[in-house]
Amino acid sequence: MTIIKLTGIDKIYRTKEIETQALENVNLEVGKGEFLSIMGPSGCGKSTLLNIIGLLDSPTNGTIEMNGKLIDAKMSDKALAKFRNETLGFVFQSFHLIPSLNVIDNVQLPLIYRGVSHKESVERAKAVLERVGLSHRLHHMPSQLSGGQCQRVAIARAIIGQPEIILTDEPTGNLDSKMGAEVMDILHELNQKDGCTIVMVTHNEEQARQTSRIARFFDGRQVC
Amino acid sequence: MFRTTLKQIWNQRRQNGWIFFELLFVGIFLWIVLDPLCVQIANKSIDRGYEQNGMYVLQLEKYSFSSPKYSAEMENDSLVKLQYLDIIREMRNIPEIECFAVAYGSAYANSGSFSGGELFADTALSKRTHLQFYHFVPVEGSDILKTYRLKDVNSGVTMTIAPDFASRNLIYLSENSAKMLYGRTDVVGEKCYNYKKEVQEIAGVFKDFKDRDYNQPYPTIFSSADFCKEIEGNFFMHLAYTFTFRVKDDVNRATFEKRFENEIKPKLERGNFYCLGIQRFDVVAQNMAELFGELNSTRRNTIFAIFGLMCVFLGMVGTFWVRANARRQEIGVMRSIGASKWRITSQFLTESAILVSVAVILSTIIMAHYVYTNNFFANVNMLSKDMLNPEYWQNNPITHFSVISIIVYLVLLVTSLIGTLIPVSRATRELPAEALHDE
Repeated sequence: MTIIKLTGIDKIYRTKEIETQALENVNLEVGKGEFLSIMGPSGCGKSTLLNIIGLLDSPTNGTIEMNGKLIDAKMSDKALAKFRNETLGFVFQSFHLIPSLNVIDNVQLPLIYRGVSHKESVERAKAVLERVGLSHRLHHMPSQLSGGQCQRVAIARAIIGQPEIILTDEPTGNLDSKMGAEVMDILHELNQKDGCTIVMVTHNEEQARQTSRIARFFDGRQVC
Repeated sequence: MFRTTLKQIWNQRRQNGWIFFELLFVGIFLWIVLDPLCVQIANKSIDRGYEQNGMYVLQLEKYSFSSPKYSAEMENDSLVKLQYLDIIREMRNIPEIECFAVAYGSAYANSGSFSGGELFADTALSKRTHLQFYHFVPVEGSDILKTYRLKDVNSGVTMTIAPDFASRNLIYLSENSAKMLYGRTDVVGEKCYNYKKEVQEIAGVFKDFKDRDYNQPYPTIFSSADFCKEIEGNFFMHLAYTFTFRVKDDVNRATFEKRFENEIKPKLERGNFYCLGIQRFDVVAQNMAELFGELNSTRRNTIFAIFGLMCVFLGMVGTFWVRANARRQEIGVMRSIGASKWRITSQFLTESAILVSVAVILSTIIMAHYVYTNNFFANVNMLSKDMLNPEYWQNNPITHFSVISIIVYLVLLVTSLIGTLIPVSRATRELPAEALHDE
């Protein structure tokens, strides 16, 4: 069953002087429960594609369908926010934790936006942090954590809302190999045990080979 | 959400600390700058108690000894009196004039003259108050109450002088005078004593009367003392007796003034008297404010306040703008995990409002100590504090303090919200992907 379907996606960045085509006629389908790696050299449009899938960016042309539902550019901000909150989870290369909130508060945020009670969100945050092995760091600030720990917090934040799709942009890019492996283990566990669909942008051939499928990009085009 | 916002403010206490101290300082600064202007505006906006529009003062002068038009023969007290009365009659017969008043000792609003004295309720040992005396001369139909269109405090009807006003030694009191003497306003028929222990009967109570536009109404009495029951002729009588009048409502004032200048003024020459012209009451009030420094004081306080508000606005908007702009990436993260634009905007606005509220609370405590030790800005000419009317907010310490504090709070709140709203709205409008790459 297809959970993500991209049809004829183009993305063109325009400035006064220059026009850059970041993506050209991308057609991609991701099945439910699939772990897809997107690979390609720097600047080939991987992250742009991930942002478009995650509704963080809009395509110049083309359509996006998720769970059979067409994601329309005319969708209201509230509807888009709700969709991101309930269906998608993001894990970024540079973690993107909120520096002024501690670990448990960072993790709770998606549930707070969803209107879940404080008590329930705290319990669920503790549970996901225990799952990623950070139950002893609940009240630490992001600045007090290692890169690997920050990424695990980011994963906890991404999965607390039990989204169907997790989008990760080079999740191990800023980590050493040991920490990188730990993070990959968590992602595989989420994919295999929880049935999460994962789309991961990576430069790491070895990590990509561990996933169920690899989509390769070059100069904004999908080459295989 | 509110709990998270509070935590965020606390966790960012170092960065917020500077903003907090800035707000604290600005709060105190605004308090000191806005207080005088607010009091001046409040005093000025108190109802005059009379209708200034349509009122004029006649400017009479006499030829000096060196003038070729001066006549020594005409300088006789009885002749001077007749000449003056003749001028009054000439004025009274002008069709545009509705009514007039002859008052003693430049007793007209905003004249700058002040004739103070005490009045006692019933006996010399009873409650007393200091009042401004408006001595007026009941000659040739002169009616000061009608000319000023003073309103009866209870019925609201325009008052007129009783025909037997002078013979019965009647007086008219302002509302605040009556309240100070008797604690009430239904005092018609009550007896009171002047400083010579003469009994005077109260014939009416009018709404508070402002002798000076920029001051609060001073307790006022309209009376006709012995020395001005009749006009006395003397060399300086054109200065001693002032002629004020009101034109009819349907009279075009510009046309009347022109006609007065061209046709009436030349006819008002009697003996050594001649007419300089007429002056509108509003012009008299403006001159008064200018001469007594009130205009300069108001201008100075207004400029300080505008300058202060501009500095505060630009400074605080800038501070909050920078604060919000520095968190564009955070806004991108919030959007990526499902926060709507409004959710983000409201969180930032709440943060700003909390910062301002805490800072204003502290600055208010500091200002409470300041006014306790240094008092408020005062702009009243009362002889004692118990003469201040507590109904005016600026006279009540608690209300005064609250009003200025609320104004300061609102100014800072609005400023900080504008400084937050614009950059946050702009940041939420851009695509989250752009904000996330803003490193």
